[in-house]
Formats: sequence, C-alpha cells, structure tokens
Amino acid sequence: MTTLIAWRNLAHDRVRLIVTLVGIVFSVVLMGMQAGLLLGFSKATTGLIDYAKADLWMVPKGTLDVDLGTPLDERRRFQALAIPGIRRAEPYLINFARWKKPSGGTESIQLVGTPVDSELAGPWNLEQGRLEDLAIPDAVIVDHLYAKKLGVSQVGDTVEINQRRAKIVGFTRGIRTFTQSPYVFTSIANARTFVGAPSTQAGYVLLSLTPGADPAQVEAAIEARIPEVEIFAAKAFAKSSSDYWLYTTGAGFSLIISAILGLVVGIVIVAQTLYASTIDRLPEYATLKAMGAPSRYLYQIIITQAGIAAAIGYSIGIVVVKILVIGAAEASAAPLLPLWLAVGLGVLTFSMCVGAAVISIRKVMAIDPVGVFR
Amino acid sequence: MNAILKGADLRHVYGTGPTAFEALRGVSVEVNRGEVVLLLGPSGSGKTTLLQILGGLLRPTQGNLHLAGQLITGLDLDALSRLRLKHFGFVFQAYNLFPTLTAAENVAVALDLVGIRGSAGKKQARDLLGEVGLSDRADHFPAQLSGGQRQRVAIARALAADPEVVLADEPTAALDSHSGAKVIGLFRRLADQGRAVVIVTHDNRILKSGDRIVKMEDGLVVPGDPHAPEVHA
Ligand SMILES: Nc1ncnc2c1ncn2[C@@H]1O[C@H](COP(=O)(O)OP(=O)(O)OP(=O)(O)O)[C@@H](O)[C@H]1O
Ligand SMILES: [Mg+2]
Repeated sequence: MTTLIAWRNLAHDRVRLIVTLVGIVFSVVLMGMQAGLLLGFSKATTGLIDYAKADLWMVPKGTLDVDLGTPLDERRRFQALAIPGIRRAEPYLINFARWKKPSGGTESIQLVGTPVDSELAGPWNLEQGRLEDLAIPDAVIVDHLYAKKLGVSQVGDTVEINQRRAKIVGFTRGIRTFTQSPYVFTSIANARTFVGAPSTQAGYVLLSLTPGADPAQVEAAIEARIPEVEIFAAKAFAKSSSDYWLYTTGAGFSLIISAILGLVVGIVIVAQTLYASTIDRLPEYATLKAMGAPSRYLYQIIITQAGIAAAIGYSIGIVVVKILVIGAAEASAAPLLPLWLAVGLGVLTFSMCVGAAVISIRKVMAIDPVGVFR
Repeated sequence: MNAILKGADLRHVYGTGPTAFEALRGVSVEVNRGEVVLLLGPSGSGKTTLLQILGGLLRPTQGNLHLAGQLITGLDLDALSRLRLKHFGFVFQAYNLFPTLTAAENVAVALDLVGIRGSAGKKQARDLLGEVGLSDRADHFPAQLSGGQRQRVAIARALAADPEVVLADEPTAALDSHSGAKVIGLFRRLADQGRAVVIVTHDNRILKSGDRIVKMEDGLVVPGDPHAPEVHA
C-alpha cells in the first residue's frame, strides 16, 4: 500500500515528476560521463605500460610519466642484465616528434621505438600490416583512430617525421593517447634515426624477471648498483603516469569536480521536489498519524517515492550514458562504462535520492496528529 | 458497567507562561457502548480539545482517562498511537481522504495499517464501502464524489479496524441536509451495532439522533438534564 501511495504521489504531479526525473537523469549522465572519461583517460595514460609485458620499468631518476621520458644510456641495460633475477632487458625509446602530413601541415606525435624482436613491448591490436615490417628503415605503424589527424589512410602512405621520410607499414586499432599527440610505433633503430639520437640512447629499459625472482629484491639490487635510475613495478609506473596527468594537470580534478557537481545538483533537485510533494500531502500524513499509523509507515511512503524516482531516473540516465559512450568510442576522448561503474552509479543514485528524502522525513517526523481536528 | 470511555477531572492547558490557556478546567465524562453522545457548546468552549483527549490524540495536563477499564493517561506516544489504531475511528469535517487514491484504496490504507492486505484487503474495503452505501463508487477518486459521499468513505475508513469508539468533529458541517442526514443515519447505525460514538457538532439536525448531549462552556461541562432537547442555533 505504501508503494501505491508513493507512486500516486509521484504520478499525481506530472510536471514535478518530470523535473525530478530530469534532475536524476542529469545527475546520472554527468556523474557517469565524468567518471567514464576519468577511466578512459586513465586507461589512455597507461596504455603503453598496461600492454607491455615488462615486470619492471627502469627509468631515469625523477620520471613520473611514461609519456615524458628523458634519455637513458643503454649501458644501464647491460648493467641490469648482470643482476640476478633479470631474465630479459630491452631498450625503449619514447620521444615527441613532428609529423608532416602528405597533404602538408604538421602534427605533434609521440614516437615509440622498441626492438623489432621485442618480447616485452611494441604495438598491439595490430589490424593491418606485420610487426616484422618495422625492421624496414623508415617503417612506422599508426592507429586507425588517428589516421585522419595524421593525414594517412593506407599502408604504403609516406610522410615525414622530423624531416625524414617515413612509410606506413601497418595500423593498430584503439590505441589512444591522453596527450593528443598520437603514438607512432617504430623500431628503436628507426626511432633513434628520426630523433637524431645516438645508437646507445634509450628512454627506458624494460625488464622481465626470471620465474620465482622477488621483484622487490631485484628492484633494490638495481637501485643499489645503478643510482642514476629508478625502478618501477609496471603497476606502480602506470599509477604514477595516470596520477601525473590526472592530478598534476588538473584534468582529473575538473572531472571529479564535475561529477560531484552532478551529484549535488541531483540531491538538490530531488530533495526539493520530494519536499514539495511531501508538503502537499502533509494533511493526509497527519491523518494517517492520527489514525494510528506508526511513523515508519510514513517514512516508507517517502523513501519508496524517492526509490521509484531513482529507479526510473537511473534507468533512463544509464541508457543515455551508454549511448554517449558508444557514440564517443571513436572520439579521441573515449569514456568507459564498465559494469562496476554502472552498478556503482546505481547505488549512488539510490543513496542520493534516499539521502534527499531526509528533509522530507524530518518534516513528517514533526507532524502533530492533533492538527487534524481544526 | 457499560462505559467504554471514562474521563475524570480532565484538564488541559495550552502553552506555558503568560500565554498559557486552560482550555479544559476539570471535565468528567462517560461514554457508553451503543450510544451517540453529542458534544455541544460555543466556539472555543473546549469541544475539540476534549475530543482529542478522549481519542488519545492529546494527553491531558491533568486528570484520568480509562478505556474499557484500563487507564490510558500516562501512556507514551507510541502506545497511544497503537491504541488509536486498534480502538478508535476518526471522522473529520474536511474528510481528509487521500486525493490520489480511490475510495476503495483510501479504505484499503486503513486496513493495511491493521495488517489486512492483498485480496482480503480489497474485498473488505469493498464490503465497508457497501456498508456506507457506496459500492458503486469504490473506484472513484474523492474529487469525483460529493461531500456526503466523501464523508461516507471517511466513515468506511474509520471502521477498518472495527473500532469500539468512533469520534467525529463537525462531520456534517460541510454537508447539505440530505447528505448530512445520511451521514447521521450511519452514525446512528454504528451505535446500534454496539459502538460508542462521540460527535462534536453545531448541527441542529443531529440533535434528535443523539442519545445524550454534553454541553460545554468555558472549558467546563454545563450541568443539566442530559436528555433536555434544548438547542440554540
Ligand atoms: N494548540 C492550541 N494552542 C493554544 N490554544 C489553543 C490551542 N488549541 C485550542 N486552543 C484554545 O483552547 C480553547 C478551546 O479550543 P477548542 O478547539 O477545543 O474549542 P472548540 O470548542 O472546539 O471550538 P470550535 O467550536 O470553534 O471548534 C480555545 O480558546 C482555543 O483558542
Ligand atoms: Mg472545534
């Protein structure tokens, strides 16, 4: 019966119901998109690390983010190989470069160089072309997402990188960058040529451990032997990289603030409309109290009302979020909507609506049934 | 002894300090099963206050009230609330129906409160509406009913818990004489079924339906012949 009363209370005032639902949908969409973008950005900032098979990353001291590498002498790689527990060590070069489109016009890119026979890194999700072709001098692989931005459309297209000729030998699918400078994959030898680096220069050294080796022990051993470098476990480097972009650049904060804003707007609108509808029903609630209804009965009506609004608003909102996420899949900033986020948004929406019911409940709590005989 | 409600030396003071006002100044009343008691008196004489005390809605500042021999003054608010649910039916001048619920649903809410739900609740709601002569209006909303019909829905609702006592404050004040007569007839029937009915009223038409008149003035019961049909409009 409380459900029926709650539903009729909601349905009775169409305009108010629509305002309530618009508020909830707005809130769900804003929270969902901001959180989804945060996840998407976070994934983009750590893609290079997540898809590499390195256990440890050797980086020049002070490095916080994988995209912002500084030169590291490849000698460090040989020093690392001498340390027990290291199975493999590979050089890895990442550097900004200028890309000149065939049609003219330039773009900034992130050149990523890995050994042709790399076991630990290199392009992934290859959709067109062969990895071995990176052995060809000038060969590069780009992502379909950025093909248009980079002015290329097929294998065989030629461009210029730092004024040297480069040739597209393959395309990957779905490798995004947070910095808006697309990743361009090539061999480490080509990369050195493109950026004019000596043949002994790397940016990082990717390490894999022998089975059973203790990463912490190896890390300590390397840092003791090679003071110029720092060792990150892959996960830690990923976290450092995404934290760097999301929090030191403010991008993460603005996303989080917008999400919180969505929550606040949702609470305010729901609280406001629910309160107005409670005020409308005050005489009836007083009558119920006079008849001997326990306060619980009245709370149940109000909370059910909030719950129904939350359920409808969330259902609409999450569909909108899903549509936007699908629509933005090819955009350079792709929000993500994993199941846990959808569920979390649901829980948050219900908490938001029930929380917004508090002031209405307080109002009902204060009803004096004596007031019904006037 | 037939008294279901027995109030002794009831006093009630509204407010405190200099604004305190003693609305009841020592009222003793008895209400018996099977009788309609009419509470009369000028505006401000304390009728509503007394009715609220008799119905367990308001706790008297002083005095004792027994319901079926049990002392109920001194009970806490929750206990009073349970008591109202079980033993009392209330009828209001303004009907106080849920405008968004149909007649049957309004009655069903009261049944729900005493644990009668689902199909049993639906059936009983219709039966109760039948008792007040509104079987054919069960699915109408209050706005689609006349004042008299609304008041009869409210009476059906008041009967949901099969209460021993029905209390009404000016139940016919807003009704035309035909509807009023119907409502009064219903109250008469409730008393004949063995319930105690207390009605606060200014309505002369009710007088002949009452078994007993309690006249109030200035927070006191005016002594006199309880059966005297003396009225001043
Ligand atoms: N909540 C209150 N606070 C202060 N004074 C009150 C309150 N309720 C009633 N009173 C006062 O108590 C007195 C009795 O009020 P009550 O409502 O019982 O009168 P009544 O006989 O029902 O009058 P009416 O016929 O106008 O309904 C009045 O003087 C009124 O002003
Ligand atoms: Mg009154």
